[in-house]
Amino acid sequence: MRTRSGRVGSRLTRRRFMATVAGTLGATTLYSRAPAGAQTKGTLRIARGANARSLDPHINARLYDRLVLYTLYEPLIDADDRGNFFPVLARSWEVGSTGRVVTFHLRSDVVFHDGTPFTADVVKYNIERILDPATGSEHRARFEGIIQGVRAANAATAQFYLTRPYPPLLSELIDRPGLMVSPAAVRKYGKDFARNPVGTGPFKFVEWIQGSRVTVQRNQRYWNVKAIRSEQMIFQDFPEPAVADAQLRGGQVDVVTLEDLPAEDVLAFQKDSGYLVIPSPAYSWSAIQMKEDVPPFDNRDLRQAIMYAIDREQIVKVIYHGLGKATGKFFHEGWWADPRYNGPAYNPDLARQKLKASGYLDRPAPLLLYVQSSTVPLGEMVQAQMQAIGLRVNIRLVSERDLYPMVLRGEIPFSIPATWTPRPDPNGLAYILWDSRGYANTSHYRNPQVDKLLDAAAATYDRNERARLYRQAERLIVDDASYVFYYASPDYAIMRRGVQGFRYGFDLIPRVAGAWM
Amino acid sequence: MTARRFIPILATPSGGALAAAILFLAVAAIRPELFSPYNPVRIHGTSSLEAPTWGHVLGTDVLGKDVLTQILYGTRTTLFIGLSAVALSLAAGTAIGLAAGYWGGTLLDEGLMRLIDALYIVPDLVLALTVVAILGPERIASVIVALALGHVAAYARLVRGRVLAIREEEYVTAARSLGGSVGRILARHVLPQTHDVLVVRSVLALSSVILGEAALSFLGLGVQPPAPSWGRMLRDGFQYLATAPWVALSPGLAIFLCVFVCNQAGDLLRDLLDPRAAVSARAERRPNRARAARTAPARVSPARR
Amino acid sequence: MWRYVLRRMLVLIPTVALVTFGIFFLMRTAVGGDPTLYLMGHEATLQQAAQARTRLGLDRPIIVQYAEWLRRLGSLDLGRSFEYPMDVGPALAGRLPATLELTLMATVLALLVAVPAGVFTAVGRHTPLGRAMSAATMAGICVPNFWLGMLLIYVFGVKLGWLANSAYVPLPENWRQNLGSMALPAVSLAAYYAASWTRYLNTALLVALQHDYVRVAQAKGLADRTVVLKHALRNAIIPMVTAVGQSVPYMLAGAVIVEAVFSLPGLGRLLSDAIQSRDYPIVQGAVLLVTAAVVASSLAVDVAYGVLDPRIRYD
Repeated sequence: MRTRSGRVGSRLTRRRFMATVAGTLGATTLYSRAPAGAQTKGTLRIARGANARSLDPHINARLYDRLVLYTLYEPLIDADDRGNFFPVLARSWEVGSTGRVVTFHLRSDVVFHDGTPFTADVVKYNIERILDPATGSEHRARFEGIIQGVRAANAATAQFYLTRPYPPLLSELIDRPGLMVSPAAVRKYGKDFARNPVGTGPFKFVEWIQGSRVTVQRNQRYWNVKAIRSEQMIFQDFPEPAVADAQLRGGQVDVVTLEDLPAEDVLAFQKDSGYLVIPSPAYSWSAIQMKEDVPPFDNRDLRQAIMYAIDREQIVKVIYHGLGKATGKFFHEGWWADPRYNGPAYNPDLARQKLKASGYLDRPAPLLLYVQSSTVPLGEMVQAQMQAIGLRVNIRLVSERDLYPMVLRGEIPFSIPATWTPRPDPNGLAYILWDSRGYANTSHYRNPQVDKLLDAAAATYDRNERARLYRQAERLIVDDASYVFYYASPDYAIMRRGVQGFRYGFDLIPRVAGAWM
Repeated sequence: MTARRFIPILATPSGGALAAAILFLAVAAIRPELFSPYNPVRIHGTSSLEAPTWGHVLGTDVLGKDVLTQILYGTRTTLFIGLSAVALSLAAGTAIGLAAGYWGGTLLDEGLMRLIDALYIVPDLVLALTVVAILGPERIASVIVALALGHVAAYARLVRGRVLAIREEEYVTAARSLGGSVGRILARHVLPQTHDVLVVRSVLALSSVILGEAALSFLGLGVQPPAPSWGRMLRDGFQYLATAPWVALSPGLAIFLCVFVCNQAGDLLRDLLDPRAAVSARAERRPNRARAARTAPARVSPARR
Repeated sequence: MWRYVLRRMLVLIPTVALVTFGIFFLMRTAVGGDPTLYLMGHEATLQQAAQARTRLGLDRPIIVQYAEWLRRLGSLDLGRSFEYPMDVGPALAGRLPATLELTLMATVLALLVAVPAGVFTAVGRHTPLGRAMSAATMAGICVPNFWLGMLLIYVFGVKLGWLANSAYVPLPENWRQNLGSMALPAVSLAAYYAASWTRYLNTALLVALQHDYVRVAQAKGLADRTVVLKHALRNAIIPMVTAVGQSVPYMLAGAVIVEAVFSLPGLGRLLSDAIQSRDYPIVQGAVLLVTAAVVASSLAVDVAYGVLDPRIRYD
């Protein structure tokens, strides 16, 4: 999840074209055999928003630190922008007949930056590191209760033993807990490993000037060294978009990938033929969130009244200047998304009916909506829309930093926005948010039918069946309205014309390892 | 301090201009709608980031709201926070100074002065940042308290110095020998003799607090939306610096003007009320260096940031 | 004199301790103070947060935690940052050069402007230029430094494209780019002090000019300018030293903002970020460093006094 300030990029009509191009590129860039004769150019300089926090993928690394992490480390597999997996450190993989054993056949020509070999024992070490409470990895919850253990059948074969069939495993292994670190280096550096990263990636760590930049350099011993097109990459930290943009215009950086790029910047650069603006192929969504176990939000009719009272088109038009899209659902891309379903539409009459049916008007007290302080206009607009159907809403502000912790602690029953980035597997978010056992189910949403659907969908490897089940679950979750979805948008990267090989992953994190200037 | 002393000032061009400016600020704070037909918070959704035109003298921001209107409504926030912080700081500082001076030389005095020293040493913005971050910027009170803390030390020292000086005066000893309580004597003599200096200090402190509030808002820890804040407007406008500089830069002009008015007023008041202010102020800021104080200049830098 | 300095330090050390304890206490007791959920982002669960608190030692009584911090301080160990994989000491040391350079450059720039300007506005106080400069200094102390920074970025970065916001590099690495990246920030920070110190010096000179020995010199026929330069200036140095020394805490505060505007990797930005993410060890260490710097500068001013003014005797 990531917080947003309501500023997003433009709706490009050539988005689809770019997505197709990016998708094709994705299948043919770094992880496949690159065409011979590819030149290695010089240094690529990338400006990113927040300061790097940790270069240890298992501990304390932010979602957006992955931009850097994917140059230093590699997962067993990665996903292209359609959500399809392709091999990286694992040449191939298969699922056993029971569905509870996943076997990865590893590449045998891979060494870490420190010279130690990458073997199945390394995979075992990495997973056990995450599962070990002493490590303090925040990703433990994603594997706990699912991965029983990892066995190294031989040096090039790693077998994952699961407590139950679990197709989402591959999606989890693309993110930080699936990145492979060098056991020898972890042992050597101990708690300083986060400052001395050692992986198998196409780039080696050079330096990290805290608060300023991270520099990585071409790894000559990389197993696909011909696919690396840059000699060096420098990731500069620029929390202020104005400064980052000035750096781009001044020629001091080549690429700008900030989380919250203001729409105006994106639009301005789009008009400028010297620059390229690339949207991510997938969308992150935003919703109003309510806690189902706290009155009056335990009243389904009330929640649905709110759902129908929201004029999503107006929000997109006014708050986001027509960028991104109005939507009432949360599955937008991937093989599981339902292109024919878009969730509830704005319907003030139905909203009023629901409100009456809820009985809330018999004892109306104003509802308190907690709004992230960087998106106040959004909160005010929602307030106005609810007022229009007769629902009085007051606003209280919460700082961006405090919003999720307060939601997690259950202090806020009614808040906006809740924003999450997509995963390459539908279970990734659906389970943790809406299954009654999900660790991020801060709405305390409980629908036994949904639980059953999600369990069934996670138990089979048949994609068609899974898609059917997830779509069913989506409709139920949307109708239950503990999350009222209103908006979805891609991320944007701005770069100088001449930068090539830049691509987004499905998870909105750019994969820059194959890029060059 | 009678009002009559001010009249000759108003006659001069600079004094008159200053009075007019103060009047304007006061009216803008109380009734901003007199100066602008626009609503500061309603989102129009059109004409986003428009350059200055006759319709929108300072242009519009990213949501289409008129910039000048927001600046005008921001006056209220700024002055409210500024005056509250100064008042709080004055009250607290005076109370501490009185207590420390009254019990001068005792453990209480020592303790209070160490506390004051501690407040004095930490850079005001650092202290304010910590306090606001902890108390939560959503509550306007935390911003006010955070800004007030930086000035308590100065007031406390000032008042304490005065109290100590007056305690030794002959009329106090005389009054005591006649049976009067020291407390009542101090109350009758300290405050009337100090208030000139306190007024001057307060006006200058106001300019400092205004800058401090803008700085906090710029860092994201000032008063939160929807209350308009100049510092926050600067922060929000910063990212549009290249495409819409008027949004980014005009709130700064407002801050500048407000601070300028305060400093000018403070200087004027000081010349009028207490030309000796600087000397005694310097004397008790450096209690160990009475001799150096005599070579010290009569003017002290007005605004502390 | 050294006994005086020592005595002053003995008084100031408890004050510094009070400051550190105050901040320590404040951060850990206030409701908004818990850092663990911030650190874990959206993978957080309440259970993991509780475990993190135990791991970081935050569930012990505050006095115990403070005592522990003091004890480690004794062996010059400032602890380890919650957020970054670094010890506090090296983290602070890494950011110190940028802030040091910024404040030193600002001080030098401000003095280079203030000394001649102060003299000129004093000597030429009846000329139109002198009056105009006085008015300019009045304006100068009213300009917020972050606004000035933005203005400078606009003029030099956006409009002119010179000094195009070079990213900061440490001085030894590339001194040209370093100075280029520091120029605008230093000017933004220096502006207030240039104006303020000009006014200070102006006043000091005017006061000095009224002293008897000056009148004697004038009676002897020396021009105002000579009098000023030879006699008054020397006596005005002392209050100037005071002014510069007293500006240290405010300049450090100003550095916090200027570093934020220009995205400089300095101590100020580290502190402001750490306060917002509740990275206690960093905040503690940085506050300690800053207050130590203020105390040190205050003592340095005292020592300078002793050196510069033979009339001052410490006993």
